[in-house]
Amino acid sequence: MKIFFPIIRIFFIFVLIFYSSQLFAAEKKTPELIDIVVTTSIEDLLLFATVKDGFNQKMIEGVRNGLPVLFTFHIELERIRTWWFNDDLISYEVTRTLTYDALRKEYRISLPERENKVITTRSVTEAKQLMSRLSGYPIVERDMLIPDAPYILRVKAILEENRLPLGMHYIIPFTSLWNFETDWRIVEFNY
Amino acid sequence: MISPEQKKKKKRLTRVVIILCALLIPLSAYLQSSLLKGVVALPLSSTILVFFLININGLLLLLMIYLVLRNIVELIFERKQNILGSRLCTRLVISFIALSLVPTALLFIISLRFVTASMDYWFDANVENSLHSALKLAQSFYLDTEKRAENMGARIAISFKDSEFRVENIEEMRRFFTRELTGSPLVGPDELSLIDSDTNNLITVTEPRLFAYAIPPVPAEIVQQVQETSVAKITSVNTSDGEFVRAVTPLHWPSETDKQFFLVTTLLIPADKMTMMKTVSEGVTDYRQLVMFKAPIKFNLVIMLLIITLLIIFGAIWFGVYIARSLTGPINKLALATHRVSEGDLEFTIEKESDDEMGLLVDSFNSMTARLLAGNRKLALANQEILEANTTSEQRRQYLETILKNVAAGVIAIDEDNTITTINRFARELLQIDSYYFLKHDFKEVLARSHVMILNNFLEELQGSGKDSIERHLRLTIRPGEQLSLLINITRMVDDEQQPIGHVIVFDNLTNLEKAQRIAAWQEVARRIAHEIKNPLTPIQLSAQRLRKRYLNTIEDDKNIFDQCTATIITQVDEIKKLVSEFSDFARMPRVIKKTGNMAFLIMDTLVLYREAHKHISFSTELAEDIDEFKFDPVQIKRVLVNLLDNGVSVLHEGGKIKISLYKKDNHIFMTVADNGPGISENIRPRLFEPYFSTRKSGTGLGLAIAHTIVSEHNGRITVEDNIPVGSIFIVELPFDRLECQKPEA
Repeated sequence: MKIFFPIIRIFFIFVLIFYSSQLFAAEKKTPELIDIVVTTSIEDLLLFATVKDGFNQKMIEGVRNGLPVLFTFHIELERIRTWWFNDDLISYEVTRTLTYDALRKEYRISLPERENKVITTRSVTEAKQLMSRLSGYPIVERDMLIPDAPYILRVKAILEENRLPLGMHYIIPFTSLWNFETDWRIVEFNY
Repeated sequence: MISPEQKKKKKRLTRVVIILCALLIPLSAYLQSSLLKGVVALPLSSTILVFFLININGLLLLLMIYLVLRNIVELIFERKQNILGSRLCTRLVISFIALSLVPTALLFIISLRFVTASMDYWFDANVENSLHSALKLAQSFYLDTEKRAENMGARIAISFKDSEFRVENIEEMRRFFTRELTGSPLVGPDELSLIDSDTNNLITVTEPRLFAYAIPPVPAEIVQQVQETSVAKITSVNTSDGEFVRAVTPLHWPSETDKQFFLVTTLLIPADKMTMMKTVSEGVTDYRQLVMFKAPIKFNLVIMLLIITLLIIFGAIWFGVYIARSLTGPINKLALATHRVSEGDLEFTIEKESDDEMGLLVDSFNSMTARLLAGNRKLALANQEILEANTTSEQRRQYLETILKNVAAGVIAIDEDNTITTINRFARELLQIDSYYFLKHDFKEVLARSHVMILNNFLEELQGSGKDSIERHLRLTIRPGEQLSLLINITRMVDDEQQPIGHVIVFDNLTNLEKAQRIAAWQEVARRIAHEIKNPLTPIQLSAQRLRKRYLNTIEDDKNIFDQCTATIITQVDEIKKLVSEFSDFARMPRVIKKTGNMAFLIMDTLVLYREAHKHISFSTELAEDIDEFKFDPVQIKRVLVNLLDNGVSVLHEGGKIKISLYKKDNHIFMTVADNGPGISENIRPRLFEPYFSTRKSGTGLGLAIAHTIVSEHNGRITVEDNIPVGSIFIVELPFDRLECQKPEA
């Protein structure tokens, strides 16, 4: 029995190291969703939101080395019902992909909300802005909304690399260069 | 062997390990799921495969660690308890560990070194620099093309402005464009176009080599941006023919219309060049990605190497333990079996577990024990037979000995070396010898010289006769005054192979027979004498009495003589009558009639008369009180006692003593009559109990003969010995016969 105590001890030390590393990682700048604005156009309910601190130097370096970066916005809209479960109106995932063309020295951002239109730019700042910002994304048609009804909008952004290149995830299955997400942001409003 | 307490501990340990594994598995699953969050974009099948493989690996590793630890712990316990085979097991495990550890560690170190060196070699700085330079070159070529297009556009725009063309003068502008194109064919643009803000193509002049290519139109978005910013903009379109790099330059043309016009200067990077540049770019990108993942790849490879190394080491340990146990298990069983066999359990067999050398050994062991068992059974059977034969032989020997012991003849055997081998009881008692001094001794050494001579004569006579046996009558004086009459038969003994093995001397004691014959003869003589003499005695006595009665008073002369003579005749006839009467009694000795009686009472009754009649003699008794009644003829025995007392009284004078003793010894009753008279000399003792032998003047010589006859009739014996210090002692020995002494029930 005595022989197991060192093993158990070593195991818990490993677990502690693992979680402490996670804690230290958590102390770094974490991305968050800011400037969330819900407004209306003539036809649609529009969402404005920006991911703050969504990029770090490692990600930019990874992008320049050819790794694609995915920003996925999770958008959920529910109508609040007083005596019953909320009514799920929509649940979207909007994924933007950032790639880099080393030959042309330009960033390419694909915008699925604009029918997968690819925007190229040589400015990293512009590329970050294009990736981080939802500008008037049409969430739902206004016809679907009930006037004066309370709604909840939930938004979250997940940042991840698409997948490791060269099938490297088979060799190094647990490796991820960046992998974080924002907290859910909730906006309650009355239409 | 594991005690129940240890078994319980082992079970508890196993339970703890299982619980630990059960806790570890979900924990590891949780860790994996949290780690795998980053690769959720992987195909589901790959994720499941990776998850499965990792879990399997983890479980295998855990199982292996458990097995190895369990075995090692078991081994340590076994070694502590000095269980048979644990040392060999430990040695084997250590050997396996050493054998596997050294090459595995070596392989691990070399592999690690190789991986590190290879990775360093792959990601060599020179390679990176070369790739970087190649990319730079490609980039510079591309950017240079862009720059060239922009510069050409700007220059042509200025020339265009200086030429002051009018809008409707299309042909003139076309010629201008053609000139620009053909003026510097190697460094000039590949196509020049004039478009308006609605992207309508007004003039397009193309190099002849691009006639076959379909050049896509300029995107309206770009035109709009240029219009808004009034700054030339570069755009490129990639087609199968190559990359069309275009500079859209606003023309500041004083025009009569509101429309703005743009000069599109197109340069073509051919497809082959573009492919090469892309290859360079992609290669560099891939390389950089690899560089990015250098550390994790290295780490993972090291981890994998480490896991494989650990698996090999654990595998080797487990295999070592397994092999050692597979070796020591049968050895333990063999040792146990040997122990059982050494304790005599030959029916114990070992179960064969394999067909290898151990199996052969087990087979040999089982065969050996089986043979031993069969041999033992045969031995036991043989032993039984021998025992039975011995028993039979012993029984036969005992039977023979009993025969020898009880045979009424003396048997003495001597071997070829003249060593006395057998003396039976009859011979011992007859010759009154102790066999200890004779057995296993040469008869020539232990016998008296005269006896040796007699025996030698017999043997020589036998030898000389050529017969197997001879028979001779011999009178032998054993002790002074004791002569035995023996009928001796000497027989030569031969074994089954007719080899001489010695001689057997059988002798019958004819002394008593002769004595009996003599007594019988005497009795016959007495009977005849009595018969012949008794008849004339009465007429003689009557005649003498008549003569005396008639003539005693008439004879004057010699009256005294007459009186004396007739009186003598009458008296002597009386004496003769008495004598004849005794003879007659002797001759007609009545048959012994035994009945239960008390010998002590008989002695005391008899003594009463003697005490009264012979007051000058002191009679004393010493009668044992523990003598029960037994069977004898009281009348006859009283007669014996009377005869003995008469003998004693006749020789004793004033102050004489007679002592009668009665005691029991060895199931015989001994009655002794001892006196302090003159005693009996050695010479006359042999004939003392013969008829008509008397030392007294008045004795008939029949008293002791009668006593002897009576005692003999009782299967007893009468002897005489010297009384110490003086006198003689007669010993009457009677068998204590109680067979018919049971008193009838009232």
